[in-house]
Amino acid sequence: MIFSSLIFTYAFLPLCLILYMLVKPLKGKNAVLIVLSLFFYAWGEPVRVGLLILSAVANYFVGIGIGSIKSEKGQKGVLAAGLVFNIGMIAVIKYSGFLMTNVNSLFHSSLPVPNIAPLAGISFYTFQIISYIVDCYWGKVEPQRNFWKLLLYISLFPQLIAGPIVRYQTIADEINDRRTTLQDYSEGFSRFVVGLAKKVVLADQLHKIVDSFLGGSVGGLTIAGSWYGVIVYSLYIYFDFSGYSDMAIGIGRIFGFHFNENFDHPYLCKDVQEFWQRWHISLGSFFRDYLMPITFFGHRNKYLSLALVWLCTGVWHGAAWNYILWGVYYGLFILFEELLGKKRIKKIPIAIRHIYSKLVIIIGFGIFYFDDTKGGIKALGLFLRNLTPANPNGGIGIAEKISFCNNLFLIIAAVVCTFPLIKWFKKLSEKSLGVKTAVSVSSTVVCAVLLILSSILMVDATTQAFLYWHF
Amino acid sequence: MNKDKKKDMEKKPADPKTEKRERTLRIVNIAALMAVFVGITLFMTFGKRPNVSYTENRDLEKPPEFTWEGYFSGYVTDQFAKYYNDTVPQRATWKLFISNFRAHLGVKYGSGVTIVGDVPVIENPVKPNSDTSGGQSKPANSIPDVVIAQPSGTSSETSSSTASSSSNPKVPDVVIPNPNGSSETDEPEEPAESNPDDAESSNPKVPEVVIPSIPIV
Repeated sequence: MIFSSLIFTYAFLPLCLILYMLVKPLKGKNAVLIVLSLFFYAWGEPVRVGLLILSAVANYFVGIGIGSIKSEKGQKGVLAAGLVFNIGMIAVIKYSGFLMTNVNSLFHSSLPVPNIAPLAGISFYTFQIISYIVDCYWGKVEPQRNFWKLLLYISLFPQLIAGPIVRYQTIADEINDRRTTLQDYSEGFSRFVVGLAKKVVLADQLHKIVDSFLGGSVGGLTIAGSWYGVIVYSLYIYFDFSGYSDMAIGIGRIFGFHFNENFDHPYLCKDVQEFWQRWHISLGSFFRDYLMPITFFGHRNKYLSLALVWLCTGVWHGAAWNYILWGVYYGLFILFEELLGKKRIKKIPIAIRHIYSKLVIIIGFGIFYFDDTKGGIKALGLFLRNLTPANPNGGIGIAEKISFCNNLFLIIAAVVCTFPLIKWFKKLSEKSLGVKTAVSVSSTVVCAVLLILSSILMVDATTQAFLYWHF
Repeated sequence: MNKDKKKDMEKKPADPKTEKRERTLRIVNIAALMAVFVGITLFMTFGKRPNVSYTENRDLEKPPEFTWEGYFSGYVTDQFAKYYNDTVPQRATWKLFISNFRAHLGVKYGSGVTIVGDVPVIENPVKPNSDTSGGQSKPANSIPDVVIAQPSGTSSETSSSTASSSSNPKVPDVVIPNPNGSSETDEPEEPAESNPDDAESSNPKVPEVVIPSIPIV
């Protein structure tokens, strides 16, 4: 079940809200959330709930083990077992097919290639669990001795499928004691509607353009067509993923949970490092906190750590060469900026920094797009060639002119929405009580209109699932 | 504890007037959004769900029969989601709105219709009414005809066209059924008893649609 579907918004969510509000004690509220979260995850593929519960049970004992063993060596052993279990599970389910295919093509062997169906959200909840057991080992959090509370943390439906990667310490207190204030309800509902509109009104419409350019014969695109397709794709992926995060944060808030932000207007960045501080923040901070401290041969090496982080960032996104290339690509630019130094970067005119960062990001999303289902590395090669004057199809064609004109308002709206409009309005509303009232009433009207518009657009069965759903 | 929550807690206490206004604004926001949300939920839950789409000329998805086997294979939930989405009350109205919405996402390029590629241009296309050649066959690359079908007995033109189609081997290429007989874009009313079994019999018979392939890029 995806958030941007009628069945979720107008059947599952109302049911959740009614049951949650009918039950008074916190224990009961937690039980309602667990049952509904498992039902949500089981939708369309009930078998996968078994794996989620297995993972929760195993990691419950890992946490208990770390908490009850006194010796450092013993704790390390339990943590290692937990990491092997979690990474092993994700490796088998997500990467074994890719690995065996490549082994077969490299050694011309014919080893059986496992055909395991992708498991929605496995990368997200596995990383949450890893953060929990590592934090237990580091003593940052107390191991959870109540299994049901740990299961609630792992299975909580707003963030289960496509993040953000919520750390246990962020919501540990709220699992034990929480209440939803009037502010939570108000901001939670508004946030959900904004996220829904980002997905349905912007991302889904932009996806149609992407599909007609990058989804067809890539070799036949003109230079302008290639750039147009990938720029629109960059907008699409932002609204798709940040829309989902907004919905997750909004729903969480309605139930009294406060998740950390996952996006901070990434296209306003001036360099690649800043982009990654604003894009998928929960993943970037996970790698920064849990992967960067890893020592190599007993010593910490900044550059080896960087290489590992960016390789893992690529691999995390999917079992395909384009994702690995995407990670390495960003790693190289981060390395370049590290070597250049922050002081020197700041001396470069801001316009040039903006152009440089947008070029890197847009071409990066071109690499990201061409996974194996879209032609893989071969199609990517053609696409990269078509971005340059080496393109044999010419500079500009009629197709991109028509598409651009036909979607002009959509594209303008999408570009405008990459700016922090809500923050600006919030700042404006601090001027006086009258302005605050006007801004608040207008935002209520806008949200109500967006909810109605999004609901109508969801009737279209061709609505796309979230891109990050299968990661 | 997360940063936003910390920020909220660190905020200076507002004066009572501001606090009261903020509270009122939040209540207004929740009430307005809940009104829309509850309204649509009730409409989706209790609205009459169609089971035939006249514009798409097909039966809509049906609810699944529950079996444990079907549930564990994922069929039941998938089919229910399809049914729920496909049979939204007033579906045709929303579909029309969506197509209008999409048509207004930008401005028209050039004259509105631009065909690129190897498309034969016909200087004087022969109208179906002025076709006096009887059994003469059309050129293979001619522009397809579009005929609005009228329900039987609503106009004399329909009966004559039906009669001519039986005697004339020239069959229209694309036929858009119009049970109301009012205009091409009008959405048909859902029948009072929309049983899918008798839906076909109440519908006017639609001739087979033949769309010749035209190389349009």
